[in-house]
Amino acid sequence: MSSNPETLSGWPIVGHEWAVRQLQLAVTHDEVPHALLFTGPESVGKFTLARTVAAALLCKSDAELPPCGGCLSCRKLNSGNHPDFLFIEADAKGGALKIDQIRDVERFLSLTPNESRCKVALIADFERATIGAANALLKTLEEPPGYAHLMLLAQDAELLLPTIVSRSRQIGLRPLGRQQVEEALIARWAVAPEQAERLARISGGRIGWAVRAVTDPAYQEQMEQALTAMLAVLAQDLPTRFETAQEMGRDDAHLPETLEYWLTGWRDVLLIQTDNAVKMTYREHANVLEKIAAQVDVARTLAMIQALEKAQQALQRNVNTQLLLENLLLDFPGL
Amino acid sequence: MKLSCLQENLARGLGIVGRAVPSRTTMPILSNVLLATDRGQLKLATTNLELSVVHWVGARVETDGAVTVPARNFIDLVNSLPPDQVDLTLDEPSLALALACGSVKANFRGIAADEFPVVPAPEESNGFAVEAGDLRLGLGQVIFAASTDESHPVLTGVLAEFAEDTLTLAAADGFRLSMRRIPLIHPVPQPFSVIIPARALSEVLRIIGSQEEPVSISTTHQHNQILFQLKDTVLNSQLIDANFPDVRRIIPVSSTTRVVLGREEILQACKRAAIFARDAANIVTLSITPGEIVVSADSSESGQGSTRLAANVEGEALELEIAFNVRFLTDVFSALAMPQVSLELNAPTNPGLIKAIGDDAFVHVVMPMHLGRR
Repeated sequence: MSSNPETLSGWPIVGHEWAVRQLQLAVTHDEVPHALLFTGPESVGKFTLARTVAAALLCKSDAELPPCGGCLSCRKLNSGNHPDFLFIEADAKGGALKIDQIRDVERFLSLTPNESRCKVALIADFERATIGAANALLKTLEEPPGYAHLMLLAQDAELLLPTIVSRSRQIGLRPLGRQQVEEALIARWAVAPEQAERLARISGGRIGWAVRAVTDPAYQEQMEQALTAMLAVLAQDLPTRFETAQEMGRDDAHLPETLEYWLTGWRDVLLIQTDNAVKMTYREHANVLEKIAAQVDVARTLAMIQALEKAQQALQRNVNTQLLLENLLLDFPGL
Repeated sequence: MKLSCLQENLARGLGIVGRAVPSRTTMPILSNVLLATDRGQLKLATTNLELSVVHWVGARVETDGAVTVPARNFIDLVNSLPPDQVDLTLDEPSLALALACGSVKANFRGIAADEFPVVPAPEESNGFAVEAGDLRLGLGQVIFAASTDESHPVLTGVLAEFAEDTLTLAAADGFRLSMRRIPLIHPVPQPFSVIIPARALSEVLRIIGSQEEPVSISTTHQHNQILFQLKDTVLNSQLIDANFPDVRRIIPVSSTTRVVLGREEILQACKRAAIFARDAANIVTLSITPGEIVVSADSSESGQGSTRLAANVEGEALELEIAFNVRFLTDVFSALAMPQVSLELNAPTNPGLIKAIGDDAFVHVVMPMHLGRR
């Protein structure tokens, strides 16, 4: 992938060149679709990109490529005080996006703009919208007022109602290349090269994860804890596993992240078993993972990966986390 | 910014603008009230993005400036002050507003005034004026019929049609329609119509209070906001961008039964019937026979009651039984001022038309309720 210097200098977005190019053209030609659907894995840059488009739409400067970042409109957006911008997200802790929140969006969009030419509603976590909430948005999505722009963020279009997807222009974002994340960390966040290499590798191309890991040390610690917990489970007997499940279920806000770390861990085991150890993510833990790889057969590793993927999907559908964890931990091989 | 004003004036001004401060918001600036010097006066402004209210208070201004401070705290403190002179001094670099009144001293941490949403000034070119009394009457007779159901934003607004020398206000919620014409002091050059959120108009009605001076109404250039200019106060509302249903089509043009009766009598009868109707889906039955009308409500749980009223019944059909939601009837009869009202009906399943005798600028249409006859 060749990086386009013009694109990179224009908007503060790392990677996603084609999407950025397309959206910049839309902005400069004043042809931004009324409904944009940004899809892609967690922390890949959906919010940053959508917000930049919103800023460009609202920007009041004559800059060739908005947003300028300095005009009153851009300043208000940055301080969360822009009257023509609304941001809605699902409750923290795995909650759903509710119909009342969608009604707020409808109300917001039904009134004419305050000081800009348009109004932008940015709705994150749309895959967590209840059926009622998603249906409530359909009418607005189909016939938005002329000044309205809707931006939906979701992990995967497959998780949404087809009626929502067909009414919006989809911008699919994919994980970035390891190299690209590494370069961006060094150039823009002044990270030391070795550290940048490690974080880029672990991030799996999710730039947001890498940036958070740089700016918030607790975030990396959480990953280490998740891995330690995974290794610990392998040595536990049944009653202890139930206790672990109960303990983890009590604080389930980080569960999606934890499952992601576990999945990467098992993927590493599989890589070792298939003589692909160079591609490993958790090189720092190679010793332990190699030991597991030696004691478990490939079929069992594959089964674990499938079980974790199933658990991730189930988590999106709002299952009982306690039961989910108990099931999952029972599937772990004993060492 | 450095100025002084009287506590009574400041408190009254904050009382007027304070209602527009939203109780919950994701935008910190909306919880603040704007204080700015403006042509030798103190300008107060608040907004909830739907409605903004600006009010001017007489003040002695020493140096100009502007800031926003947390509205709740500022209003509560000003209300608690003794009736004395209030001195306000802004420390520009830190945006801290110092207040001094007698022995009381306070300091408010502000947010820069330019973060506050822009409140457009009225455009002189396209203003229209109405008498305060006419507007008060019109709003009072129309606003209550607007819907409160957010799933149909257009019906939560009031249609305002400006044509020649008349302003027509109309609101409908799917079950009833209220419509009133009020005269404009000067004719408009170009007819146009806008939909104004009913909540904003309730606030206009409240602030007009007993004002007698004409109210000036204007819209911004693209017809996306409307301004009501009162004495010392400007209200500014966003408009609802949608097509209002063609409500004139649902006004019945003829009737087979026409009942004329005293407004106060029917209002009291309805209020009485409402006591039983509240356990029976708010249904009241009007039984019309020559010369009289019986207003009754029947609840299988709590009992039943009726009121017999003398009425002037005319038309092709002199006997009719029809049911309405009693709340809709009390709403409209309370909003009218004329001593006599007329009820024009066709069949138990057709809408009823309510008018005030001697005031043909008002019409009200209300849908009947189904009488589950066995």
